[in-house]
Amino acid sequence: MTTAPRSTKDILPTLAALAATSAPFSPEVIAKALGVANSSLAELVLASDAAAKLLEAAAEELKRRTATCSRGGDQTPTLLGNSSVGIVQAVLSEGRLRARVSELEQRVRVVVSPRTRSGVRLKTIRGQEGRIALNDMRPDHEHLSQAVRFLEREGFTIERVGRFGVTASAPAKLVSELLRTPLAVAALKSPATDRAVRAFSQRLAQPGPDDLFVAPLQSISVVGSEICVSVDDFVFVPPPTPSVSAHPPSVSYPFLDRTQVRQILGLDAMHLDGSGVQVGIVDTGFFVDHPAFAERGFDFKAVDATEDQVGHGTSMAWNLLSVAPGSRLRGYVKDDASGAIERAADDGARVISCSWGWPDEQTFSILQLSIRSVIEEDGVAVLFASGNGDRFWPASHPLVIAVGGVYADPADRALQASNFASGFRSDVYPDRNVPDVSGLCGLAPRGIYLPLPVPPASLKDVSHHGFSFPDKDETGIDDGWIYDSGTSSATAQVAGVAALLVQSATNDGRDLTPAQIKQCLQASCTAVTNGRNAFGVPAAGQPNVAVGWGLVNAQAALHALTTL
Amino acid sequence: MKRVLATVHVVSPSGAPSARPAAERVQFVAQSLQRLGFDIVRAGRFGVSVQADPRRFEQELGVLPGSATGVQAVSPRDPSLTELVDYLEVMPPSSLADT
Repeated sequence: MTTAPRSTKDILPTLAALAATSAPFSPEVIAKALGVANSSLAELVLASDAAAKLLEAAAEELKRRTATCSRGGDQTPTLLGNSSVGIVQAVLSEGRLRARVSELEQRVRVVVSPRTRSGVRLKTIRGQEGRIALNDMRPDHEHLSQAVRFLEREGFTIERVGRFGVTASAPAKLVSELLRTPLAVAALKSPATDRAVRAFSQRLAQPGPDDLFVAPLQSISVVGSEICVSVDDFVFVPPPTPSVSAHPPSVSYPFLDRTQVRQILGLDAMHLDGSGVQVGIVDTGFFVDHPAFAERGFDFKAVDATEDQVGHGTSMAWNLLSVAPGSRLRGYVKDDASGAIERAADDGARVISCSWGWPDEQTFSILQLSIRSVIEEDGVAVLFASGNGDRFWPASHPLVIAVGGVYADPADRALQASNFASGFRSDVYPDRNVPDVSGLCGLAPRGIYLPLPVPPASLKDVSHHGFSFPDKDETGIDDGWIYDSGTSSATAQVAGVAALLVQSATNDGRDLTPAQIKQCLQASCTAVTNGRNAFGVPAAGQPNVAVGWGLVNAQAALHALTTL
Repeated sequence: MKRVLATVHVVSPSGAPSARPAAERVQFVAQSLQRLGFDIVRAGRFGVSVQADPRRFEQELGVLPGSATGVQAVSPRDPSLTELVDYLEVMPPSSLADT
């Protein structure tokens, strides 16, 4: 749980006191000194100018300390000491980045270009390679051998002697001393996540560990001839931009990005993130290694089905983690549905999210028993999607939380019942109306609305790609992103809000039953009285069959919890 | 022939349809079904999820799941299972709540 950042004036004495001790100047130590959760440092930076300033002060302090070390005897400042304040800030705020920098300190890779047979420097022929005979660009055999011997003598590890160059690595200090140039940590470019500033900024997103690389300050190549007569250039090759980005591609039509989803669901000033709450998600499978997840360090594991050929489970997990990023999310494959739900409960889930069902309210006895057991005996809140033009069961089961869909216009946030989402009176259970509450859902024909990560070239990646909106989402066929929604996404969002309620109650030392969770959600919804759902049912009155009690609001739900 | 995934319902001593059978009873049924050639997916709270060729279901439990879904009463060939299992349930793949 985060606390409000203190002012820079309060922070500097703390940092100065830290600097005077022998404590490592790590994000964990800084966070503890400042009285905030370590995992929240990155969020704080994004959310608060004051927090950004205090981390800038920490970065300056670190530079001062490394400079002091340098004057004291270590002649080569650390990589971080040479890096830009932005990089230092980013690294200080996240343990995984600091670990990556430590790795880079120990091993910097460089590609060595020996003198060629023709005497032409490879660096000078950019764009003309096709006009020069391949053999003329190969290294001279004697110079190649001398270059390898030189590198080995200097302490490099030869990783590969290739056809045109030698790949070698050594500790950063050694490389910097040999090449007589300071080295710094840099990060790959990535687009801003917020659409509003994407055209104006090359990077607003926090880099991931794989985005970091080492290069000299002035140029990625260093002339080699003054260092070794057999070497033309030492080249620091940045890592390639991954084919699957951690960020969604741009599109031409209106959509809601992650920040907007959080704002509309009442999460923009949220101090809870689901920490300490285990959530189960039962779906098609989970690609937990998607860069979108990896970059953010979620606690997200697939208990079974690490493959997701469809792409649905992966994207539902993103919806849930967008609302409750600190939750402990565990994924289970839905093939044996009752087994998966029972297993999620046995493993400790307090909330289980299920974005699927059977049309025409087709029921299944054993699954029904499992759902009831998990809710009544284990006290787990179980959520199901109401469907998109179908009458879904188990959504209509009276004990579950049935989730429908509300559309928020990206331009003005006006709310209306989504004409893509189901709402109905059950034919199976007397007096049972579906949904109970709603999350965010796009409009017909396909609900293309929210950027969601999927395994590259999965069924959904392929089926959604291309032109044009509203039938296609304008993404690539295998870029690992789709724009989608449905009551599927809405269910996962509401499950995330349920996790926040559980966290809040647990923090207060109380238990929360599934019925109480449903009650809090229903009592605090934003009423939606415009539009019609997929069956043409108007959103009239509150509650109504189109959207239930309306659109879930996390902040209001937490307040409702206090009055339970 | 495509393998079928089904859940075999385990009867509780009381015989009440929604009563939860003892874990030991479920484990016994699971072990028996495994011995009879079924792959055990999970021994759950109310039944045992198994996967096998449809002919195995026909041979050992007296039902041919085939294309039928839903609940079917079973007639186990193994007498030790006669009082322990009463029906199996085959669920078709669920529909995803998006496009």
